[in-house]
Amino acid sequence: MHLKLDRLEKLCQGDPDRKLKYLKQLLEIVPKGMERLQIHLETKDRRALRRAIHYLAPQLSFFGIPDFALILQMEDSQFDNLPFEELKSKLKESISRIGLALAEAEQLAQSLKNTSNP
Amino acid sequence: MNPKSLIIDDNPFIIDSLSDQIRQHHPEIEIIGNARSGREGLEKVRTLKPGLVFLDVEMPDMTGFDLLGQLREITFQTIFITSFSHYAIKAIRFNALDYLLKPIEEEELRQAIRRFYANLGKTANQEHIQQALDNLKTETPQEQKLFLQTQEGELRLPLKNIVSIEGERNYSYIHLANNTKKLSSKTLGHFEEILSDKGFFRCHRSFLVNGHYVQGLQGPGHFLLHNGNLAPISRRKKSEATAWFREYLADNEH
Repeated sequence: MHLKLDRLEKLCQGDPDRKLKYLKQLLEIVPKGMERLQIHLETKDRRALRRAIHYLAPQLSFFGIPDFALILQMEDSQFDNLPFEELKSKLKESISRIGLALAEAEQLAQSLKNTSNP
Repeated sequence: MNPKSLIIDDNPFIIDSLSDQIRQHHPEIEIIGNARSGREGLEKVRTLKPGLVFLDVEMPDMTGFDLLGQLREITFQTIFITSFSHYAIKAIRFNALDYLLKPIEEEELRQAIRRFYANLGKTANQEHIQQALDNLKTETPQEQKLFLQTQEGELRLPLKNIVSIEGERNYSYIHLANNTKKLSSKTLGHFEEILSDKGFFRCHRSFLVNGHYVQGLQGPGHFLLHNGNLAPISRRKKSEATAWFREYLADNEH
């Protein structure tokens, strides 16, 4: 299991349509953000990287993926001074974990769709 | 009349989840709209006239502070919303503003709403925001003003009036340039967090000094302050304290 769904369950109070709404939103927003992140990694644009991480972190944390929130907890200077290769490798690891979580979200969304439209 | 709220955030997930949380747990608060950018938010603030605004600190087109700065008058209470960002949180705490960290925890939201109700009809929240906007415009940190809740009420202290802060368990004494002191219920750690990038240095577990008033090093273990008082430097901080003071002098030569 790569996703933790307790916050989703609590927010949606058992309503499958709302759960589906949040899963669809995750599947729409995060992959686009990941694409941007990959571009910023290639161009070594730290400021844009931090902005992209900042944008995605809350939604990922909500689904139990803390990687980006942990990166944001670094002091700004620590983030700025981290050797780029180290930052890149950290982010690549996170991106791969997030990819697995998204695949799981996709399956879950599909099963919710099947349940609501038999 | 029910309070009317507006949510301004560039991330639709935050807008949707916060809206759902408000509808579930605070149904008496009406959500009259949302905005996905600073510019749209500005328009909606002007046309919808909310009583409460949940405002993202960092949006691509402008910051939450930029948005507030463009209003002639702030007639609503603001709860800032932010992802973990040291810079934003320091600015918010320094100005004693209310904020929520994203993703928003139910209990945190409940407490923020409670504070909103406690401040209804008062101008404290708006005054803090006005002060924050003034502080952001002030280029010299020593000219910025700190909100301080004391036994005598709320004070606005220019940083240049603070000589040092002495921690005493869960409260702190603020030593002022006029040789008086004020008691605050905030810890020394709180002051260190909000003042360390404004010319203050934690030289001891119970002392924070303002570089503006440090005259020099006195022996191996003290800073000499302008009023002749000494501030202790802990042994493990000695070299850091020396380096900080040199840097402070170099930065403030002119």
